[in-house]
Amino acid sequence: MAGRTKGYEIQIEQEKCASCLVCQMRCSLLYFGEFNPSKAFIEVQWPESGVANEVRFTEGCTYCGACARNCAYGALTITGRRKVPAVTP
Amino acid sequence: MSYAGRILYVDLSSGSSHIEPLDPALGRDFIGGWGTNAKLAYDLFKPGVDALSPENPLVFGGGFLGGTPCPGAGAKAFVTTRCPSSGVVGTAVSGGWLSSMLKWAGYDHLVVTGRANRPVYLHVADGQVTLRDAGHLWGRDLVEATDALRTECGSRAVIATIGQAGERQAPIAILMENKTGTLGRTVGGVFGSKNLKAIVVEGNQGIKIARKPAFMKLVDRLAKDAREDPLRDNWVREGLYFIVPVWAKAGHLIYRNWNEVYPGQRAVDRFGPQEYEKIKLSTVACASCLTGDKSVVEVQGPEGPRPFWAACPLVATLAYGLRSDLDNIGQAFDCHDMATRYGLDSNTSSALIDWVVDLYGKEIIGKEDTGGLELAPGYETTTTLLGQMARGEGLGGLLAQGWGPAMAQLGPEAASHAVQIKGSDPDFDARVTLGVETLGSVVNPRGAHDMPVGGITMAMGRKPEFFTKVGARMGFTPEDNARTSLEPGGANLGRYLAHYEDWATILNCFGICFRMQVSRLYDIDTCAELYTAATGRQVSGADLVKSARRAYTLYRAANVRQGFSRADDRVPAQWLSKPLRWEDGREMRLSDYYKSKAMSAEDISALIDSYYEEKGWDVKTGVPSRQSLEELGLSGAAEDLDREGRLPHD
Repeated sequence: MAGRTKGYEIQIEQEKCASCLVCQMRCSLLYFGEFNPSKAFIEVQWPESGVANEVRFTEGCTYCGACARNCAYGALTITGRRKVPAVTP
Repeated sequence: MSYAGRILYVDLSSGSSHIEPLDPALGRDFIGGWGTNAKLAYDLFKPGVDALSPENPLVFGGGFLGGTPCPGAGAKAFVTTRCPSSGVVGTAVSGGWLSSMLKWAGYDHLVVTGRANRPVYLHVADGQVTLRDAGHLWGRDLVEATDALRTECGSRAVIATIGQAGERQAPIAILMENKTGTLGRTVGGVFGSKNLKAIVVEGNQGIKIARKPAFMKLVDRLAKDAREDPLRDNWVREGLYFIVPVWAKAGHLIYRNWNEVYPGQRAVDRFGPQEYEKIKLSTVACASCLTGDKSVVEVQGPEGPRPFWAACPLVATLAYGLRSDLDNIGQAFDCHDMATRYGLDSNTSSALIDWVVDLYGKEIIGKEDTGGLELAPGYETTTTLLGQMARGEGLGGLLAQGWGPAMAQLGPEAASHAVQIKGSDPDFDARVTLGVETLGSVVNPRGAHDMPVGGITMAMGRKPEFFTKVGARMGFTPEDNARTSLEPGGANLGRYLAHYEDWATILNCFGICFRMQVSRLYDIDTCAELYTAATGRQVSGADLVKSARRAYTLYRAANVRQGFSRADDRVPAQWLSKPLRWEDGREMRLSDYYKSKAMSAEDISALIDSYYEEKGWDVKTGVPSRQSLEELGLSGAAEDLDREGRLPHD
């Protein structure tokens, strides 16, 4: 099935997340015009146990890559264009 | 804009809270963060209020740029309170996430007063403010309490807790946010006195700025500079440990109660960057910081390895590694972890231990003072005394009361060997380098640990032109620069410091980290542009300098009202009278920054004179003059000081 590209493949390496929250601030500014991590399409959660944060994209994320381009710690890396399956009617 | 525009007031006694709008004049006149805290504190603190009484407020503040991705500016949170034991009104500063989360919750400041009738924690989720039972947390260490609250309150909340030392109202107890941001020395004991175990904040309101394109253009430029800094990888990978070999060579690594320079090769072998990297698990950065140097390390304990979140990893070495002359970096982090879990300040607890070990070695104190303990430098003595500090037992229990009570109890000869200023121990020694950091630690209202840092005079041998150039970046006018030039002989250091403090205050008001890799990204014009873009209100660098001077002067006035004066801006006797000895027999004595001239007590006094003169303060008393207060729009403070008989008159 032929697909189309939309956004980017973004690799998450949770153990590299340093908790700066810049990804969330950049995302929420881009899509909501304010710095508001609770609205961002990427979640960064401090762990209940263990060391690494939990990092994941949420519903509504367009994989635009703004978060990854502004990640200074290598926790988010753009690895290519994102392939989305063609929608069949 | 960029201000949340609200202050949350919580009264623990009644359990009530209310919100007041942030007076726009506060932002205009005091910028925000540290500066506005100083104003709120001045208005709230009644002279002579007992630090452990319900009336002593805890004034929290987030930096002006908290909640934004401006590099390294979203990190700093401030708590102003009266310190138990020393009595200063001081502002503790942490790097972490509390500042930004407060802003996202819709508050620039939070003021907590009163005393709960049972252990509680304060939960703030936007407009929902509740006091929750903390009976199940009382008695648990700082890390356990944080983990329990993480389960209870969710993965997004910022959690600031105290340990057992804070519960016991120890003046050297800390508050720690998210296990990695220390509000040191004063805050933990005040929390304990209020039956307040923790503060938990979760914000969903967000922060808006007035001129987004202009603001983000500045942020993008700063972020690019931060990420392209050739030293960035060192900072992030090695934390501050890359500086160990440099400081070992310069003589900044000191032990044996400020008597000797730690042997350089031993420092590098035991505590060098290669040793740190062996135990480092991951990097931690404060909100918005692109050059984070905090970390999680693996500590080996009797029950196996455990992770330890290190707010300032180098403190493990400077505090316990060197002072307790420990065998390796693992032991240093083990002690640092133990102190942190108890909620004890590592800098101060280690300095106190170093002091009593020295006293014991010199037979100034004996087993009758130590409760039968044999004191010797090392892991056993350190961990024993840390445990006593947390439990309030024995000699450690006395030390946990802070420098003042400990010196009073152990006697004048013991006190004469204590290196402290206003009940706070310094981080650096003026005999190694007399600069803005060390002279700043003498005159700072809060005490020796608090000083304008950034490292500009920690490095030695910089030429006068360097300081002039840096001065211009920090907002010194050409006239200021001409008057404060740091020539050999060092006569102008006091004047230079007076202006350097303005810059440090601007950084504090904005919430910008003092760490060199962050602070050097900024200059006065960039700060003015950031303020203008964030608020939509045009300001100049000169406006910011004046606001900073206003805030710092009011901070000084708040302490004058508590009885502090020039007599308290005292250089530790050891710095004046004793040399600091190297392993090979060389000695360092107090001298000017260029090591061109020995500095006597009179010379230091002259530096302090010129510092006061430059500020417009009375040279005899160190009290801001009526004129200096009125020029800054602080006529109300002038009236207060006059009414209380503290205002200098010609």
